[in-house]
Parts: sequence; C-alpha cells; structure tokens
Amino acid sequence: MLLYIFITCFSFILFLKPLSLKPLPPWASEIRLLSFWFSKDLFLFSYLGSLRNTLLNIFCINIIPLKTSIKKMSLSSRAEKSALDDETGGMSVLDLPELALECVLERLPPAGLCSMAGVCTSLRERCVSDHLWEKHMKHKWGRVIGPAAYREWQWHLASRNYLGSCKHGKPKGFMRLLSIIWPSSWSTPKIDPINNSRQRSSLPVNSIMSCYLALETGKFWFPAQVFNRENGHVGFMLSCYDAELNYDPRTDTFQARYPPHGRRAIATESGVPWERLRAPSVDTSPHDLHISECLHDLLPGDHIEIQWRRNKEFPYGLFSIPVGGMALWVTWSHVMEMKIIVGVVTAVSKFYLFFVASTTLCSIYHEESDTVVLEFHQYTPGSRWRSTTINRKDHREEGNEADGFYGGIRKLFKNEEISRWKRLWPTEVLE
Amino acid sequence: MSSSTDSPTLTTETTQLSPQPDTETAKPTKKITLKSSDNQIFEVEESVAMEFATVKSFFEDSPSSTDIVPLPNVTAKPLSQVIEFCKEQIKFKANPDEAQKKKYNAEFLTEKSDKDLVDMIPVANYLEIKDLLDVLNQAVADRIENKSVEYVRNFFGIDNDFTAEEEAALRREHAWAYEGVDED
Repeated sequence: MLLYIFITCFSFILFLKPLSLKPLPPWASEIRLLSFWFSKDLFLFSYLGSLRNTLLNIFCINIIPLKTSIKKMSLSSRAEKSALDDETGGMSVLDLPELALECVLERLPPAGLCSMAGVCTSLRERCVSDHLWEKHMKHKWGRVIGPAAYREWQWHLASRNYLGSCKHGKPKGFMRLLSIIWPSSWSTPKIDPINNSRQRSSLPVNSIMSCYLALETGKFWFPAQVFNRENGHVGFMLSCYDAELNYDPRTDTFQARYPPHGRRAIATESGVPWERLRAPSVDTSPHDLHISECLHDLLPGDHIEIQWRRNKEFPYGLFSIPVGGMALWVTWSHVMEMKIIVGVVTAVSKFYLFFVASTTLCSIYHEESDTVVLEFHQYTPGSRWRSTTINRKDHREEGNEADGFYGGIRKLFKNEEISRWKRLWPTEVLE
Repeated sequence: MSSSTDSPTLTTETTQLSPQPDTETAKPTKKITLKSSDNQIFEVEESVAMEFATVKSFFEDSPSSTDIVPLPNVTAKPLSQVIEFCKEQIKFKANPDEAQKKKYNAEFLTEKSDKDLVDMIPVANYLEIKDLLDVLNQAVADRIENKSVEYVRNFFGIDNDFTAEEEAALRREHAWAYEGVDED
C-alpha cells in the first residue's frame, strides 16, 4: 500500500515539475505566477499543488530522503537546479542552492573539508576542488612554500609513479596557487601531471588538496630556509640556512635536515618552530652564486642579505685565494654550504662619508665610489667577522679561506623582512 | 522534533493569527502579507519584509501592489523562523549594539535543531537575506567542523555511495582528518 502511494505520488511530483512555479526572481514571471495562483480554483492543480507539498513533506523528507537527491546532484546541471529550487519541501544539504552549499564548504577548516569529502561521491567532487584549498594552502603554507618546494613536489609526485603521462599545458592546481604567491618569479613547468581520475575516490595528484595533505601529514620533505640554525648557536646568529623540512602535526613544529658539507654528516634539528622558517628569498640554489642586481643602488643604512660560505673542512688547495673562477663553483656545489647573513651597510665608502655631510656631492661620489664596506653589527668591532669590503663594479665573491667567502647580495626593501631579521638580533655582541 | 524548536513557530503563528493588534494603538505601520508554499499567511511589518531582498524588489517593480506575495519555495516553519530573526535584526539596526547582536544570534542558532538550520538556508538564500545566510552557513560549518564522516552523513541525511574499497582508500588517504574528531 505504502509503495503504491509512493509510486503514485512520485509520478505526480514528476508530472508537476514542469508546471511548478518558477522561483520568484526574475519578476518577469510574476503575472503568470499570480494569475496561476489566483485562478487555481479553476483547476485541479490547486488541489494537486497543496497535495504535492504535503506529499513532498511526507515522502521526500521521511521516506526517500536521499536517493533522489544524489541522483539529481550527479546530474547537477543548471537546468536541474531550478527544478530543485521548486522542491524545497524536503531538503538535504545536496539540494541546497549551489552558492549556499559552496558557502558552507568555504567556511570549513581543512579537516572538516576532508571529512566532507568522505561523505559521498558528489560532495567529494566538490570538496577536493582547488578553489576551496587555495585559501587554506596560502594561509597555512604560503609563508614557507616557494618555487623550489614546488619543483620538489613535482619531483615527489613523479617519483611516486603517479606520473602516468605527461603533457604540456596551462599551469593548474598547486601551480596556480604558487603563481599567486610568487607571481613574478614563475615560469611554466615542463611537466604537468594530468589529473588522473581513474578511481573516483583517488585524489587528483596535482591538486592543492593532495599537496596540503602531504605537507600536513609530514609525508613531504620540502626545501625552505631556517633562521638561526641550531637554535641560535653563536656561530649561526643572524643567518638563514637552506634545509629540507618536514612538518610534525603533533607538535606543530618542523624537523630540519641541513645538507652535508665537507666531511660532515647531515645535521638535523627537530622542534623548529614556524617563526624560524621562510620560503627561500631568491630562487637560487644554495650551491650557486646569486647574481647581485642591487650593487649600484646600495646606500648607507640599507639592509641587505648576503650569501656567505666557509671552507674550513674542505681546503681549496690552489684556490685558497679568492679567485672567483669557474673551478671554484664546481667544487662548491659538492662540498660547500651557503648561508645568507644579514648585514647593515653603514658606510658605503670613504668617499661616501661625504655624502652624509654634503648631499650636493652625492651623485658625483656615488659614481666614483666602487668600494663598499659591509658591516655586520652583530659582531664586536675588531672581530674578523665585523666587516668586509666588496667592489660594486665587479663583485662576484670576496673573501678568503680563513674568514669565509661573501657572495651574492640582495637588498631588503620590505620593512617586514627587515624587522624579521631584527627580531633575531642577538642580545649580546658576538666576538 | 524537540519542543524547543516548535515553540518559536507557535509564537510567531499566534501573532500572525491576530493581525494588527497594535495598529490601532500605535502609529500605523504598513503590513505586508506573505504566503508560504503550504498556504500559511504571514503578515509582517513592511520594515521586516524589506529585509528580504527578493520581496523588496517585488515591491520596487510594482510599488502599488497590494497583493499577497506568494513564496512558492518557502514553507511555513523555516519562514516563521526567518521572520523571527529579521525582526530582531531590525531592532539592532535601529540601536546598533554588536555585543547584544552577537549574543542574540548565538542564542537563536543554538536553540535550533540541525534540521531547522539546514531548512532555513534555502529560505534565506531564496529571500536573499545575506546576513542570515552568512550566519546560517557559519553555524552549519561549525556544527560539522570537527565531526566524523558518519556524523556528517547523519546530519544531512546523506547515503554513503562509496564502495567498501573506496571508503577504505579514503580513510587511508585522510587518516589525518579522521583523527581527533569529536564524539558523535
């Protein structure tokens, strides 16, 4: 009996769909709508209209809650949507207007989105989409993920044999995210894995969600830089080291793996807090010299970062005098560490001291002064680490085996970056 | 359904069944008649009805209209709750008090059942009441935020259409998200 009623009613509902009222806006349909409303007594439909609602209330809510709506959802076409709007008698979340459901999903934190993705197939399709994850990715990982990490992620995917086939194409997924974070320093990748959806439950490998989860669960070691390596050991103050990092969700800190140099083993450090991490400031490998583009703009008082490396463990032999030739670079790429040290330029040159007193001479001496003195204020005056001299015309690398080598220079423009270094300033002056 | 969720409906209905009790005594305010899909008549003050962008544009398009406004997509119960909410919001518009407003919104939401909340969303969406929609979406998100998959299915009345293998794969993939969820 119940089944009979059900079948009858359902056919009513289906029959009524095309007749049912359009949603109020646009109000163009108002007249038709109202006339329909008022003239309903002439028709059997009036009776059916109220009957329909009652039936919907009874059957759609209580007896056939979701089977139909899931079916509708999988069709999920625009045309279907207006029909859905008409049947608000029995609502499920999947019947919510696109926008409203989208709004709920947008407000969910990452773990909530993951749970929702496990509810049913149609919600899964929605919950894995990049636009929902972009915000979370940027919010949690944007500060520490840069182009190098992206390349590493691509490699990580490839090494897990996810890469069934490759294609040249438009940046998407994680790529798109990074183009937001790093708008200028970005080039189209050569390899872009296809979103492989052989299995409907498997996550598109190049989705932002999959990257987020890999980071969040510590499955992915990514390259980034760590300030004050080994937590402020005197020799590492005001420095920033390249490292591979791995997130530990239980402690909300990172494990850092510093690349080996010389005969030293890989150094690791655990419990590194977020504050000591940053995405590499330039997209230059720690084995390469950063090309300094700011040399001619350096002014007294500027804040800069400079690459620095030492070679105690691995003597250069013939190359112990700074030459800057190619042979040196080759050796570095295997054995040397690079670190970036912050420096405050106080006096650009002897000539430049004039500049402070007499601004009219500024431009003349600016052109003529090629020697730039970099002072590292964290070291006590007289310390061999306190200052170094570079030539702004042809600086590539300056230094010697005893004091280390100073490489590429990057001028800091953003107050945010400068104050970050300042926060790391040691409480006492270093010898 | 709990009695607490029924009571607001009843009180709202009562005020509607005795129309314009205060118009004789107080200054006359224009009333607008709304009709739900289940043929319930709601008389609301114009200021409240103008909170509904959909109704507002109806009257902007035909200012002289005195007809009943049919709301074919809206049933009585969620509509009465939406009206209740908007009535309060008007008061806050007249006397802005963010703390009180927050307090009221929180109370309004906590006393609603899951179903009430989900039912109100399409109504708020259809009537284009942006503030309410924001509040509701956030409330729903808060209620399911740290819950298990089973809880969410139950919350929305959704059937699981994954195969056992798919479900197992999902659990492996998202093990992280399955940890530390609240008790259902």
